[in-house]
Amino acid sequence: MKILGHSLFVLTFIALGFYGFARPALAGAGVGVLANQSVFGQVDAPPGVAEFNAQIRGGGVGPDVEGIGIIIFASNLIRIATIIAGLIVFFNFIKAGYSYIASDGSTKVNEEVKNTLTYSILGLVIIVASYTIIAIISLLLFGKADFILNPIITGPTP
Amino acid sequence: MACDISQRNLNLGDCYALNSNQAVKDVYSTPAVLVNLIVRNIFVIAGILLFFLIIYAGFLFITGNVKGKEKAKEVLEAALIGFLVMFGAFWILQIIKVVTGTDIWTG
Repeated sequence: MKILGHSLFVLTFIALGFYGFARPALAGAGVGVLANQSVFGQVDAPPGVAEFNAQIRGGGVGPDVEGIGIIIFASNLIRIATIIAGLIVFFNFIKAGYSYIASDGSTKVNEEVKNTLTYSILGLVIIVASYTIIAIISLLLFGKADFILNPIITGPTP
Repeated sequence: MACDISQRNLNLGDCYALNSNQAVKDVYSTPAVLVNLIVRNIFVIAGILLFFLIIYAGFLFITGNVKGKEKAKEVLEAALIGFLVMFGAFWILQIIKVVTGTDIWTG
């Protein structure tokens, strides 16, 4: 039932898409004539999206070209994730230190504290180094260090 | 190229408008154009996903302790192997092409 609902949704979208961008021509009409009779009209970006788009406007193409702001949004997400990770590690350290103080020196607590500290540091290193890791991977595979970090989406004619 | 609906042998590629000055036929002349378009861009998307997965693995490490280590390893492994398979897909097909002699994508 769920799958049916999903496929219906997708099908509707595909149908809408075709209606919007591939309108069948009327008799004798050329392509140019056809485009002027816009069936769907112009859809504007929602408020938040429009602001992100405005930040990337132009994007090296032209001042009036609307950029795709999802890249900036993703960058913000990553920045916030890094901050949150730092905070979590900070509290992990405090927690580990506290349980170390409060322990009676048993090996079980020692082990736990050791693991918490090790994996916190490891995780933080991975998160902080993720830019570098990604840059190395893209340099290795695509020959361009910013292939992933500065993604460029191209149309049918590159 | 105008599209005359009264004619026989109607070419739909002429009749469907891609944008104000191009018909579908002008850009998508062969199915390969669409395939190339998808393949080119899916690498960009997969790269961004890989980035997020690496950060997610880091989060699993800092929040999950020993249990998180196993999960993080799984996530990292799966992400990297998946990306490499994507990267090597064309080469795999090329090898199959050479070995079996079938013309897979130019035919």
